[in-house]
Amino acid sequence: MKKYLSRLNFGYERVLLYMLQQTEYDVGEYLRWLRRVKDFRAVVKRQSLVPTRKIKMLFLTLAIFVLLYISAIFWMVIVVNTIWIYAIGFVLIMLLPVVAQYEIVLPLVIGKYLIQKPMEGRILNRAREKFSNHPATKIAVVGSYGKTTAKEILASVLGAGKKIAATPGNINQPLGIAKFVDKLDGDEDILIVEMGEFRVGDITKMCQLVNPDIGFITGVSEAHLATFGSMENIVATLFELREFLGKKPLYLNGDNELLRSRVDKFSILYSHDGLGNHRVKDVEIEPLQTKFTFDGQPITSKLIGRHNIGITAAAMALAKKFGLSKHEIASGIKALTPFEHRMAPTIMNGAVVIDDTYNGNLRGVLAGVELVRELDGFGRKIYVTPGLVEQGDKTAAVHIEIGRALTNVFDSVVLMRNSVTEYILTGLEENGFRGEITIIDNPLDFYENLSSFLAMGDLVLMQNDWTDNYF
Amino acid sequence: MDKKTIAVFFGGKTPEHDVSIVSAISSVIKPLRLSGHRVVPIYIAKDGNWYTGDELAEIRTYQTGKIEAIVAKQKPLTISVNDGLTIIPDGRERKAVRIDIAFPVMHGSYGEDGSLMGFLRMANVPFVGCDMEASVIAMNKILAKQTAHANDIPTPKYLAFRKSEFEKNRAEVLRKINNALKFPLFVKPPHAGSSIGITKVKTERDLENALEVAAHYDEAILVEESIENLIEVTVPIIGSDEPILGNVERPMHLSSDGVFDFETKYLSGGKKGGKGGKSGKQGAQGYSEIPAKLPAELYRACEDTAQKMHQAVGLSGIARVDLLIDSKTNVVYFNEINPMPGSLYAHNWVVKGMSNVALVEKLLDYAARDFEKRARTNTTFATNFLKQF
Repeated sequence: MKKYLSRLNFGYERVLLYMLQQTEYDVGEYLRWLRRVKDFRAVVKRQSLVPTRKIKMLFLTLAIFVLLYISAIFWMVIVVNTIWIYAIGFVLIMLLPVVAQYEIVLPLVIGKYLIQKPMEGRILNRAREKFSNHPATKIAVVGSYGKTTAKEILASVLGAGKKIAATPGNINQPLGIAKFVDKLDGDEDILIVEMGEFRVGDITKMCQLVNPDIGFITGVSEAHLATFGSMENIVATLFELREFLGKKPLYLNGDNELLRSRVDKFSILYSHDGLGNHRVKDVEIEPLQTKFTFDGQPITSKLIGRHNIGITAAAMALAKKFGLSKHEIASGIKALTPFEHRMAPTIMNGAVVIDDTYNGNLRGVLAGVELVRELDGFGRKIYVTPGLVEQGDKTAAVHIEIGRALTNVFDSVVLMRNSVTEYILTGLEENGFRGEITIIDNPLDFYENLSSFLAMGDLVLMQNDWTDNYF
Repeated sequence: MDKKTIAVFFGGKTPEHDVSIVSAISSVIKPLRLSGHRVVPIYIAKDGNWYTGDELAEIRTYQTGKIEAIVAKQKPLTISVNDGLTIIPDGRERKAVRIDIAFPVMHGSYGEDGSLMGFLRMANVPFVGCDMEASVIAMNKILAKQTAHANDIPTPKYLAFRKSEFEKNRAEVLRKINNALKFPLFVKPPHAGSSIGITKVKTERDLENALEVAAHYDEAILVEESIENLIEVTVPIIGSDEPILGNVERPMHLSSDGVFDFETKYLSGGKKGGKGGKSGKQGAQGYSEIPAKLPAELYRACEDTAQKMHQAVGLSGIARVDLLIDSKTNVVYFNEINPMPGSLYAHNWVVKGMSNVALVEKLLDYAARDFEKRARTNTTFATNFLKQF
C-alpha cells in the first residue's frame, strides 16, 4: 500500500525516467528495480534526471499515452453510464500509475527490435571486416575482474615501444568496440580490446568481431552472478576465449585458483611470482607504490597491491617477446598511474585513502583486504563499503565472507545501510570483530565529508559504491 | 557514544562573533551530525538575543546576510532550566527540545569567559569544555599569570592596573612601569581575545597611547615584558584528570610588529607570508609547523609547561596553552590560555591521529564524565539553621 501511495505525487514520472537513465535503458534491470523499490519518493538521491533527447521522447510518449488512457475511460463512462462503469472507471484511473510504469518502456522495446537491432547488425558487420583487415596483433582481455587494469598495464608497457591502441575507459561491449575500430589509423602494431561478459555467448560474439591472436583471462569471480545463473556459466563464458584462440597463446592469472586449475599446454600462467622462466622477487608492498624485481631488474610501480604484480610481469614478458628493450619496458611501467576509483591511493588529512569504489566483486574485495593486511605502520585501518550488488542467491554468503575477511585486518568498519548490511555484520560477529562499526544512513553525506572522519596515520580502503538503482 | 541531543552555542556579544560561527558550524556541528547526533544550534546574536532553528546551522545563512532577516523576524528562544536544559523555540511549548549535552563554541567575553558555563551549571546540564572557574582564570590574562606565578611556572614579568587607576593618575602608572619593566613591552586588555587592543611598545613615548587603547577595551590593563629571540608555540590539550596533549604547534605567521593581530590570526588563511615548511598545515590560523621543529628537550619542556598550567588552572574538556620560548636561553614562558580554541584546533588533532569526528566524540565523553564527577560532589546537607533562627 505504501508503495502504491508513494506513486501518487508530482514528479513520479520523473522518478521512472531517472531510473531508466540510471539503468542505461536496460529494461530487465529497470523491471527488477520496479519489483524491489518500496518508496518511489526516496529514489533520486545521487544524481538527477538529465533531459536528453531520449528522455524527452519517452516523456512525450508517456504524456500522449496518459492523455489517451484518461480520454478512453471518460469516453467509456459517458457512453455506458452505469454505476458499474463508474466503479470500473475509478479503478482504471487509480491503476494509471502502475500501468504507466510499464508503458514507459514500450517505446524502448519496440525501438530495440525495429530500429536498433538491424542497425547494430550493420555496424558490427562493418567492424568485423575492419578488424580482419587490420594487420595488428590483437589482444583480447576478458575476466570477471581486473580486465580494465590489465588492459591499461598492457597498453602502457607495450606502448613504450610499439604503436598500440586500446579500447578506451570501460568500453567493453560490441558496439563500443566497433566504434573503437572505426577510429583507428590502420598502422597500429598492437590492438588491445577489453571484452565484458553479461551472458553466455558474449565472449564468442566479441571474439568473432575482433579475431584476437592473444588472450588474457584476468580472473573469475561471482560478478554478474544474477544474470549468469551459476559460476559454471561464468567460467564457460570466459573460456569461450580459449575455444576461439585454439592453439594461440592464452595468459591466465595464476593468482586465481580457478584459473590455475584450468591451465592447458597452450596457456601461460602468470602470478605474483612471475611467469614461465621470468621470476618476480624482493616484493615490497607499500601504500603508494609497489616494488619488486623482474628477472633481476628493479621495478617500481605506482599500481598498489600484490594482485597487480602478476599482470605487470606478464605485460613485461610479452613486451620482451615483441622485442622491447629493458629501458623501454621500464619507461612503460614508470608511465603507469593508478586508475581512477581502482585501488587509487590519495592523501587526505594525512591519511592514506585507497579509492577502490569501482570494485564490485568478492575477489577484488579480498585483494583489497589483503593489501591492507600487508601494509603496516598505520594508526587506524578503516574499511568503507555499501557491500556488493548483483550477487544473486549468493548475496548472503558473499557478504558474510566479506565480514569475516575484515575481522582481523581493520580497526573500524563503516557500512552504508542497505539490504546487505546485516550479512556483513553477521560475518564480523562470527569472527569476533572487536573494532568500531559505524552504519551510515546518508552515504553521499559521508563521502562528501570523509575528511571529517580521518586523521593522520589512518589507512582507509573504500570499496564499491551503489548507484540509486541498487538501494 | 549513544546518539544525543546536543545544543551548540555560538555567536555572542563579542568581537569574535563571526569566528565563533565558523568554529561552531565547521568544526562542531558538521562532525556531530556526521556522527549521528541531533544538533540544536543556539545562535546568540550580536544584540545578545538567542535564536534556534536549522537554518542557523548553515554557513550560507551568515554569508548571504539572511541572518539579518531571521533575527528581525524570528522570536528569540525561551529556555527552561528546571531539571535540566530545555530549549523552547519561538516560545512554542510543543516544540520544546530537551538537551542532553551543551557544547559552547563561544570565543571571548559572555561565553568563553565562564559566564555561559555558570549558566549551564545552574541548568544542571553536562557541557563540553572548561568549567566556570577555569574559564574565568583562563580568560583573564592577569589571573592566569598570577596562577602561573604562584605555581612557579615562568611567565614574562608584568604589572597590572585598574582602568580607573590609570585614568586618575597616569604619571604614576607610567612611572611604575618604567621603573619595574624593561622595554619592549606588551600592553594588553586582560579579557579581550584574538589580539584585540594589544600593542607592542618599543619606547616610553608610545606607552601612554598603548595604555589608552587597552583601557578602551577593558576595566583593567596588563603590561608585560616582551620575550626577545622569540619562538611562539601553542599546545592544545583535551581532558581533565588525565589530559591528552596535542602536537606542540608553531604558527608561522607574525605581523610586522611581532604580534598576532586579529587579521593575521583569522583572515589571512595562510596567504600572508607564503607557505610553511614541509610539515606546514593550514589550520584555522594560517600555516603552522606541526609538530614544531624544536630540539627534543625543548619540545618536552613545552609539553611540561602546558601540562603544569593545565593542572594549575584546573582546565578540562578542551583548551590551548600558548607559550613563548626565548630561543637563546631556552626558557619556556607561559603566555596565555585559550579555553575554546578556534575550530577546536581540529587541524592539530588530525595530525595527532584524531579525526574531527573522533575529537567531538571524545569531548562529549569528557563532558559526560565531568558532569558525573560534579554530581558526585555533595552540595547540600541538612542543618537545623532555620529552626534555630
